[in-house]
Amino acid sequence: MKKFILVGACLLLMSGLGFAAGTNDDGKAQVFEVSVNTTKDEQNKLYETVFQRFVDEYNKKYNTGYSLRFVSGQGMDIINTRMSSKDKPDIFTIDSPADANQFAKDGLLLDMTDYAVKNKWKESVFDWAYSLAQVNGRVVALPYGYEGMVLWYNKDIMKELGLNPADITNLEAYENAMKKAADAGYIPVMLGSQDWPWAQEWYLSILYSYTGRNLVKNTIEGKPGFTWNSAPFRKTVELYKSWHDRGYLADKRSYVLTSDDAINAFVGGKALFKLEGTWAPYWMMPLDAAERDKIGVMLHPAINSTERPHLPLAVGGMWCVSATTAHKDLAAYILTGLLGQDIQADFLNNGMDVAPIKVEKSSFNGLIPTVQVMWNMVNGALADGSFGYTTWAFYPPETRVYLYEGIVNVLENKLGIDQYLTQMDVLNKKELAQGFIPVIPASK
Amino acid sequence: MKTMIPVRNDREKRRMLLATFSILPIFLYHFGFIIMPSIRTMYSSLTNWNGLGTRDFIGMDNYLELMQDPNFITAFGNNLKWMALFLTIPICIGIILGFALSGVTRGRLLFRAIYFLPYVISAAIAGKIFASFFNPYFGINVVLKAMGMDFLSRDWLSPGNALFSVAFVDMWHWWGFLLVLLLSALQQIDPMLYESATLEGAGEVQKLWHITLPCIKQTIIFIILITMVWSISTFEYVWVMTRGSPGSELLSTMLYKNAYMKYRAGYAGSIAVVQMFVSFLIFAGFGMLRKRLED
Repeated sequence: MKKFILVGACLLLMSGLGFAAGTNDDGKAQVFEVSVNTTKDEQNKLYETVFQRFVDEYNKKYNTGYSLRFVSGQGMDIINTRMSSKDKPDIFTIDSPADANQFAKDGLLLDMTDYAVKNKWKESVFDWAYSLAQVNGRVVALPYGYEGMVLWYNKDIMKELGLNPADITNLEAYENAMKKAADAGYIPVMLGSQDWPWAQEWYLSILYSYTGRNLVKNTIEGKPGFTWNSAPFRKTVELYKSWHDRGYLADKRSYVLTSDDAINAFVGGKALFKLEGTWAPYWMMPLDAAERDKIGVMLHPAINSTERPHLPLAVGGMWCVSATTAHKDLAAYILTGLLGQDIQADFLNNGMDVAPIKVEKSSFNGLIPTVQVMWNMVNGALADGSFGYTTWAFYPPETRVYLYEGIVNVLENKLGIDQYLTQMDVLNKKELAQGFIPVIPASK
Repeated sequence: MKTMIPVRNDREKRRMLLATFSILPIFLYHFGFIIMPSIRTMYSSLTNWNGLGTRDFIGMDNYLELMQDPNFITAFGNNLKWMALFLTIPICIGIILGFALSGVTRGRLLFRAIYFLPYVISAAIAGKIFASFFNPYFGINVVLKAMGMDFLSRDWLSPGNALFSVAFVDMWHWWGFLLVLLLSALQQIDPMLYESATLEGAGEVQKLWHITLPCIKQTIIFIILITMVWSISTFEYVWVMTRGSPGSELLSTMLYKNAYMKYRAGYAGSIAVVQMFVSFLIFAGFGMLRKRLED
């Protein structure tokens, strides 16, 4: 009896190891894995349907026998671990071009330049996004979303305070609006960074970009004479701190509020402005029409006389193919298929990331009006080149983390502004020296 | 002089073989999943590994940087504060309540289940729930205000309070487990000792001090040991509730950020090795203490 139990346990262990190794029943390596970072059921369902369709099409066309393994919830921590092991997915998502940079540096991404040329990706994808898909001139990724930072405002509060959003385009008007809101008992700008420290980063993305786009570009690239600890950036951080000290930013409570708290407080009429990304239609979709109509969208006003209001832009993430995949053709077939208009229209209508391609205008018609306004802003910024730079898309990773963690110490008076910016400079230069290659498209 | 060679009969040999065979799976598991990764981590800590590609040997650079990193000093300090809190509050509550409960004969199991309940709730869920309680708009502060105790309300998860607030939640989860351990130890004490003490006129405090504590000494030492080691490696509650924001940064959150967000797995490895080293020191210290007590 004991022997049977022992043998049974061994078999169980072996089957577990076999499962973990990802072999299929007949032992053939015909499983094609697509690994995504999404966690929402509806989004995963749509992704899986789309990928299954491509795999079926490919099998039919080329008489192959691939089966799809779709794995969701694979965030950067999991992907990093898997990519350093032998258990690599065929196609997977990463968060930003900065991540692609790291992966490409270590030769983990398939060079898809030939496939990109053959399938004319350049004709579909926006130029700036196509440049972000490249490292050292080789195409190593395909961006799957594009987004920008905007300000939501509460139309009722705006009216009550006698303000007109169209007039709030410069620092003076913006500070006046914030003061009026604070005096009337409202929170001027809502921001929740307790569970989402990146909310601090959102605002800094806007403010650094607004300090001067060329300045940011040259500083990240380490051009001679450009440093983070320079007067313009110092002035920007001083401005941000002064807003914090006056209680304009989430009543000095951004780090005790979750992102849910922030959105609920804004929708509940507690705040005049809320900083948001154009990726956030999923916040609006569940609201009833009356609540949704209260929300207006505008660009953040300028903070100096040199830089006009613009949209700090980012790609929402990137599709990559593992350099070790044995199924390159299928991977390229799927990525090319993802650029299809019908697929992107489906993603758009489900509040998902939309690839940076020229999506047909009719696809936007069914969207909520406010969401349409946001998309118009993004597409308009792209059309005339008036976009800026978000931190998560363009900054080196360590500099980026320090940027939003260090600012909390500045706001709490535990760190001087000079020290903060000097450290950013040290990290930026160190990362450049270690091989980080900035890919920053020029704006107009 | 002839050397005496112990003669083992077949039965003994079989027993030895069975014992070895029984230990083997655990040993292999431990070797594969604990020892090997630990050795690998030690090696990584001497490299500039970014968590993805090749590792270049850089000697002790990571450790030298670590010793000068203000974040590390803050995080380590926070771990020590965490340890101090966990070595006092939950253990004291556990001992006092355990002592009180050990006298309860009716419904003891029910009490034990109630106190143990928080321990079975996952950190992710408990952390999220308590984060809501700490919400300044509808959480504990609102209740305090309604009770006329507004002076007690504060921003519980602000950098100045976050560490203590999160520690409170972890303690809420932790002390029920300690209570069950202590209750089990208390039940092993011979009731005759208490009866004799009562006859001698001893009070409850005297019984606690002269009978209970000496009898559960080994359990208390074990609890202190695991509390200290877990305090050095704790992660879940802080990550769920504050993401290791300034004020609540711990070694483990610092490690995670370096490994997965900053692409500095080698540096993260050096933090892990420091954690291992501190844990080893704690184990060694307790090993000596236990030996001394036994002697």
